[in-house]
Amino acid sequence: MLELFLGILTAMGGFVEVGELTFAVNAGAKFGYGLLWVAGVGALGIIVYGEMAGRVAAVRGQPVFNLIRERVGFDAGLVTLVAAVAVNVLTCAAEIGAIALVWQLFADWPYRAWVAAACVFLVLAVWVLPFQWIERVFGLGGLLLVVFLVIAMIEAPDLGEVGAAFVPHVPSLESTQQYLLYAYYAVALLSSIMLPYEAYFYSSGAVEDRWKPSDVGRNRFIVVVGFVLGSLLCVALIVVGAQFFAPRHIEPQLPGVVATSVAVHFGVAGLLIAIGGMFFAFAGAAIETALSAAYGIAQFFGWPWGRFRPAHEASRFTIAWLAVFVLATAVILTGVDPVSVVEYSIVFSVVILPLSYLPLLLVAGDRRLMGEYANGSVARVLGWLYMVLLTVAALAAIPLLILTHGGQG
Amino acid sequence: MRRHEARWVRRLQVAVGLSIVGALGFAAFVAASGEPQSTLYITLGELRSRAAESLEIAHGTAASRLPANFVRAQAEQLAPRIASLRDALAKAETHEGATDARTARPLSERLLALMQALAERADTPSAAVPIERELRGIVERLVPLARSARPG
Amino acid sequence: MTTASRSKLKSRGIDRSIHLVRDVVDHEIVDAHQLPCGSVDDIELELDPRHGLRPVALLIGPGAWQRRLPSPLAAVVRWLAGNAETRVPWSEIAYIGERVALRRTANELGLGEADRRLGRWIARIPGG
Repeated sequence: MLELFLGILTAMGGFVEVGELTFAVNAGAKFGYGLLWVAGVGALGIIVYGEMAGRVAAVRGQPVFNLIRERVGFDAGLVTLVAAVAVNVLTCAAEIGAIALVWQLFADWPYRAWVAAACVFLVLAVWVLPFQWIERVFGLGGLLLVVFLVIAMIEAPDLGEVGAAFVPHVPSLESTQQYLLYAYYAVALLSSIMLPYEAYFYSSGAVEDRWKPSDVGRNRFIVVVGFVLGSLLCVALIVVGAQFFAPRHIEPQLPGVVATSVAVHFGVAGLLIAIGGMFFAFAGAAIETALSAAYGIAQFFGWPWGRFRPAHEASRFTIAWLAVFVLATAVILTGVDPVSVVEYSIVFSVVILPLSYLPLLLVAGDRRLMGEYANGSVARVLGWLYMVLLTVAALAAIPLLILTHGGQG
Repeated sequence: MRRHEARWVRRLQVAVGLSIVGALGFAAFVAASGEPQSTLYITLGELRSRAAESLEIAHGTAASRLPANFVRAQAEQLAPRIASLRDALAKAETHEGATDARTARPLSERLLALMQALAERADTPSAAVPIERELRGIVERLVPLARSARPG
Repeated sequence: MTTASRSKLKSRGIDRSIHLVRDVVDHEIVDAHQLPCGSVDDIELELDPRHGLRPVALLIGPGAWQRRLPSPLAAVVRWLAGNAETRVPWSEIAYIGERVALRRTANELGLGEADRRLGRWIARIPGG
């Protein structure tokens, strides 16, 4: 029972990362409640695919990338792997940059020193902590972001208006340029909620935690409840953007600025809680992206993998996640603006979203591989509907990026 | 069945690959050109936002809601962003009919100076009050300026 | 002896072998201790005049899967990962299910060498 509770809280706390935080707050600041329905669509999407990933792991005792090569073939699987790893490195870089920005708010070291410190911290955390502790510490720490849920409720007492905005609609805007920007934000927000590393990490985690076919029901419960609650955090960020930042003419880029919305109501204590929550969310995401990339590589090539094995027995897997942290840190140390890295990581994630999820959809729906646990009609219909939606989003992403001058307007 | 799927996956990969090539082409194009005139409204919008963020921080300092080292660090993170906006405005000023840029650039200079002053006096809430007042004036001038510069 | 690249199989059209290869290639391999030791990257076939194509060995390693990539890409892979290839005779297979299970350990068959080599270094670092 406690395990179930912790699983839900971990899923909820691990839902938000820096790209989602930035795009959600800005979506609210720019378009009010106009993009809330996209958050709802994204939440349902990650629930559908997260459930599939967990089910595959529970039934087959194998995580998804093991099966991708068998199901989709070597060539297609390799392209998926390379794309997924590249995006994971970029996302990890964004999170590391954001951690450095957050730590800089507390002590006056140069930014680059904080970046290096963040890398060391993350490597040590993964090296020393057992897998369950990693999941728990960063997942539960991310729950501090619930403070934004409180702020959202204070700032937006009219729940009816919020609820109505979940119905898919396009608000009336001033110009074609604004409509293009709206479309760009819709695509980016959807991508930031449905980041594939979440589903793949969840599936490898289920194998690390030794799930069995009897855990399929439990998987469904954790995914639905945990991700719904997690998406509430995303919704809260949009509301805060709309109710706090829009009237003040702010479109925040920096995590510290986002945290000031909490300080207004809860002073220094609130500020510390908000920043603490951001740190755990970003660090958790950095770790998940690195491990997810390492899982993918090791599983695709059939190497021993997993934090349940001693590091020297799964050497190449260990080198893989170390390499991701080092590469990601190198990207940030080039001096590129971390805010830009965040934006590009989300945009490139959209582009490979359908590629990342199609193999999962095929594996989860294959009766030969999954037996009676293959996708039922709900999972199949929703899975394919989302595949179409994600393909449209993936193809529209780059043109929209260009037409909106890099997402600026 | 696998061959049929593999064909669709390959088509998807080609489409995605073309998207990525397009993105890289765009990035190269942006790096090479950068037309200040057509994107002036973006620069003004960002400047308005940075000014409003600075105002919020000054407001928080004056109300003793924000710790001093947070204020200093935040000012330090905002400064280079404001500086690059000022540089973009300076470049736009040289173009024809760029009255908005000419109005905004001195405001961006003043914004930088005010944030520096705020950082220096971060532990004295009373010192933040006049800074907050002046920042409010800057925001009030930038809001209509940014709005009118928008296309459509 | 031939290796089972897809084009060669298409032209042969021998059902039993294709079926076997499709269900074996790209599957994970585990040794006697259930330790993953690679994937079936390629299969070595022998042409027997009476029985047609017969699989004689599993081929594992970058050298094996390089061949399945277009040649410029294969050259890049060769530069990055070398072209080591381990040959496991068909007789070493204990059974073929979801995974291909071998009779002996990875160590005895020369699989997972890279992990063992790196593992000696990694084992020296405390706390792992």
